[in-house]
Amino acid sequence: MIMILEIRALRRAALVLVSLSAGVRIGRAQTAAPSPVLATMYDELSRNFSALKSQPTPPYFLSYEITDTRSATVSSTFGALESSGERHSRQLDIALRVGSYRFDNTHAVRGNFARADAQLDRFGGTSVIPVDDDPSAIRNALWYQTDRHYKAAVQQLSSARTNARVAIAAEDTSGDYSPEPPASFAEPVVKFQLDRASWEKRLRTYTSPFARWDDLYGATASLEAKVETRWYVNSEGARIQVSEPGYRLFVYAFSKAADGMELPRYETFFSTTLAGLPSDDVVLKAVDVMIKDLHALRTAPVVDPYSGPAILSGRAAAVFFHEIFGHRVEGQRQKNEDEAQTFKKRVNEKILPDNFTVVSDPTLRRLGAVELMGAYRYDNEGVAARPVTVVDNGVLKSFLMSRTPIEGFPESNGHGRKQPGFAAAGRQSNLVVRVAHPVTHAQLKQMLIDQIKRENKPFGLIFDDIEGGFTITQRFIPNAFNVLPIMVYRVFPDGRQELVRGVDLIGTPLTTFSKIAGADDQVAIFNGICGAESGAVPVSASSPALFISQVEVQKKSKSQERPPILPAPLSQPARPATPHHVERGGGR
Amino acid sequence: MNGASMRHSTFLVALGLSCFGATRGASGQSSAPAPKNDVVLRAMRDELARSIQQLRLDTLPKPYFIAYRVTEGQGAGANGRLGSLLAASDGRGSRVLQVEVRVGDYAFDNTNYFGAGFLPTQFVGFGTLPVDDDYQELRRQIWLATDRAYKQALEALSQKRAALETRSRSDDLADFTHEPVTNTVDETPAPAAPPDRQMMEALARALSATFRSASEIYNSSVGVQTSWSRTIYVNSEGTSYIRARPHASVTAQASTQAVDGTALSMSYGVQAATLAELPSRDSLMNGVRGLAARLTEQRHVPLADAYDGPVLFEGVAAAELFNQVLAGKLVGTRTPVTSPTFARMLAGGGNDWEDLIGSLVLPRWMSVVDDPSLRVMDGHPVESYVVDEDGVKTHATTVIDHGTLKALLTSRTPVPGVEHSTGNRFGGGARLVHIVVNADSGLSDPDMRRKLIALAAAQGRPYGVVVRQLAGGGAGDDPESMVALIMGQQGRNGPPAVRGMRAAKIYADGHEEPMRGAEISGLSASSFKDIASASQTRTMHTETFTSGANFLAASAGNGPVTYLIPSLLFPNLSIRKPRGTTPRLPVVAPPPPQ
Repeated sequence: MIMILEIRALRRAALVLVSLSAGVRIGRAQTAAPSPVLATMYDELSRNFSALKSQPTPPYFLSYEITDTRSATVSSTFGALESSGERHSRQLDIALRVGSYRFDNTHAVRGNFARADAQLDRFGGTSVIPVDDDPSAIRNALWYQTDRHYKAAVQQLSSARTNARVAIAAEDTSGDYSPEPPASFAEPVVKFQLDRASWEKRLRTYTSPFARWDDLYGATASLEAKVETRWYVNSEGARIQVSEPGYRLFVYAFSKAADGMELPRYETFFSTTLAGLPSDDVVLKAVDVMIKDLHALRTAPVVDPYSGPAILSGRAAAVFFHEIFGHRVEGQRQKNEDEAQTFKKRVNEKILPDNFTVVSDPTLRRLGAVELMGAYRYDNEGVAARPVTVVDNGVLKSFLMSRTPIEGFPESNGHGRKQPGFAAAGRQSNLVVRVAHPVTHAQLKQMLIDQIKRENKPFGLIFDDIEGGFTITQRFIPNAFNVLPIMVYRVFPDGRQELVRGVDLIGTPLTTFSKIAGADDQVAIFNGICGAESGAVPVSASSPALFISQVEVQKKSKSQERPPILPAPLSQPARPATPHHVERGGGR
Repeated sequence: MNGASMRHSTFLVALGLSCFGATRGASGQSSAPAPKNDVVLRAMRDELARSIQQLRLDTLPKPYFIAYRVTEGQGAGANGRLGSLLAASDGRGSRVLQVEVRVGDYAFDNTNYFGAGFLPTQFVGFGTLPVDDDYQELRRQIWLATDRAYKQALEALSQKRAALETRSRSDDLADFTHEPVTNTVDETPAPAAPPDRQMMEALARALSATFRSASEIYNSSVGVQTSWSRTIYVNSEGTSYIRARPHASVTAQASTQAVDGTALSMSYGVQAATLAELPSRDSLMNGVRGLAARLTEQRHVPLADAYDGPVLFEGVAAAELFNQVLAGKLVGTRTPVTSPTFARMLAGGGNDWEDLIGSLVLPRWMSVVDDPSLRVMDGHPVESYVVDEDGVKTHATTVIDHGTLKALLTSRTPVPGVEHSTGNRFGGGARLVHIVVNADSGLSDPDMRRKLIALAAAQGRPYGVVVRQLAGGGAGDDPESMVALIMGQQGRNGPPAVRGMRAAKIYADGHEEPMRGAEISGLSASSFKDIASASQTRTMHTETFTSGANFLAASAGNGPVTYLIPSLLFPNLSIRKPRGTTPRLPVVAPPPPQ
């Protein structure tokens, strides 16, 4: 199994933050009467838990989580409606553990594939449950699925016990699950409302500018509106009801260079309110920039593999930190013996420059004008969200903990997250990189130019916009990361900038960390969806622009298919843009 | 679908069938009058004309054939469980484009090839179109999809040529048949009013609430669906068709474990053109109640004993058996040219009945006819097709005539012995549509049973076995049946095992003892030659066609097939007791009814 952790395609709503102190925390909880669903879940949980207690291998922990999703998606392509629909559904997740907090059925079976069988058991079968609040159907589903999870857990425990005897002693001897105080919380269920007809009109408008061009081969805009309500109960007594709205507007277009390279551009806007989405003017301006960028990219020169100094814009640096660092401080990776455990033994050691502090803060709702996608009140294991200082003035302090303990960190810090249908794991939330005593952007660029001159390099690079990135954290293949840039500029010793294409930023974590040589005061945010072992979860990362004394770039993989043979069947196509080199500010 | 009871669909052809052109289109331009203001059709025709005339990459061959097939649909559905709504959705529908581009010529082109990077042609060329009637944007998407399909076709053709430089073909069949040009319109207009979602949701809740009192059934759901779909087809030979149909259905599924732990599932379904034409609410309620009662009863039925002797497949079971074992043999599936790497993987991809054309495959008193153009079967209206999905006119094909295999059902991809399309392209390739099985001298139902018992007695058996329903693909949600679905329902040795869901022992005095889980081993297509008798009465039943062939290699179609078939008596089959382990029953009792 190769684990690739990736973050994709998110886009800021605003560019620059005024100051780092402008963060807005999750407000004081507004409480409400819980839905009858919560009571139904609690009743059925109690009934099953106590009935199973009389079994020879009784469960010591049982939790139910129901995720109620009301969503609508509207999408357009080149000014015409592509799809429009809405949906209401509920999904059930069960965690059932037999054994003890110390050693249970989830205990890692090392050195073989004995768990494949048990996992098949866990993934088989429906977990879709009715959307009506009527107790009969919900209780039936809870009962039926609990039985299946129980049987699978008993089987797992027996193979885990055997394996623990057969395999060599594990390096990390911490327990399998951390007891946590039960939380009780209910906020009002957000009502879902969307005028789809009016959004159909707006989305058509957003993609119609693309339709005038015959060298753009894909252009879509989509709005994904969603209210996600989660009910969580467990045998420790937790009863939680949280309800989160989210609206994402996503614009995507791509062209192709004459050599077949696909050239994408993305814009994402996120808000927890419809009113928080940008006005039509703002979106259409972004669309104009996308078109201009794509035309410029078509004729931009391809860069050869290169090693030298570079500036990562705030957004590029944010994704860089998410990949290079964020995934490597997820708690369970310090325990799994297939993982490289880059930072496991580095607690209380200096791993970054003195002026760098890194925080993972799910209670942070917004930074400046930008709402953050990685905010939540409770994680998927019933643990309250809290800010975690991972790096304090350059020194590693903590990991992102789910209820899976690791040596030295016996408790969860509210980062046990998952997509419905997966088992929770320590995951990122809002990753915030803070730098004391930053320089200005102009000074940062001067540092780049000085370095180019000092090393006698023909040019340096500025990574301005990116589509995402991925990393590999396991041992048996090189522990690399890859950031996928879209807008990259070549900077010459005289300060001139030229747009280029065709490279990915690559490297290994420890080496690259040691080359961080400066940061500016222009913080930018990358809102995105992150995929890893516990599924896709919304996250954000924010960082100032960084100066790195040495990076490495490799050739992008590219399609071998050339652009279309016949011209577009347009009545009056706009003239393709003439080649020009855009002079842009670089970092934002 | 294993509908234990089935009301037959009442599709009617609404509009007249216009001009079956008998002339071969030379110009590649269609002369059929397009329905006025049909923006989709106009965009398809215009982009088709431009592409067939101008699309060409450098000096490489230009396409000799292009076809576009656009399927647009809208629909609504409601699913209930135990009186609650399972999910709710609403939308604007979809419009899907399929492009077929052929380079080379009819004798040798880019299709019937399988190699690295190439999916069988039935899986390529798909794209989505805007749902707006926006001429410009429809054309843009058709243009882009055609460009992609043409480039893939060029690469496939060159790889296919390369593969044949080191391998020789075992046949010199053409890749594509010439067929007469047709232009047809066969439309039932879209319903004027949007579907009554509330009514559908209320019906799904009411029907599914039936299972609240069925405490021995662990899992159940009821779906109410209605849809309207329209297909528009044009090709560069000048053929075109438009077909639009409404469709409505109610389906119920229930699963549980027998008292010994074996997973059991059963379903019930009815279909009609519109919701209004479905059976009455009372009748649907009875259907669902019947399902709950049958499944509950089945839990307690004893397991089958080992048995060697005559077996009677009665009613629906005969159709299910035909569909599982024989249907795939009646369809021509071309074995593709492959690169050496894939040759072994695709070995056995074809249909071995190609070699049996002219041979005896059934008793001399049995014949099998497929006729997609049928409007009525056994007095019930059925969905009728004027042309198939290549625009080839449909007609009756006598596949087996008095026991002798005469032809295989084909699309425009010929197979040895069948050089023209039989008009059976539905889905990715050919399939059965309306199968009528005729027996020259059928027995009455009592005589069938008497013969069963007599044959059993002659073999020294105290009873004969009658099978009334097979366990089909309608797998439950237990991991075992999911694995079975993924791995294929293969028997341990030889042909796939046929599993009897509901069966009974019939004794000489006429009394019956039900049994379940009978695994009928060694029943293959060649066993049908030995059929001892068929009944006078025939059962009409709809199943989903499964070719049984290697799906990567075979270009078989998919979709429903309706059978009109007598009960069939096999003189000697073996039944094995079910073996292996079964899952335990639930540890905790189900929640008490509320």
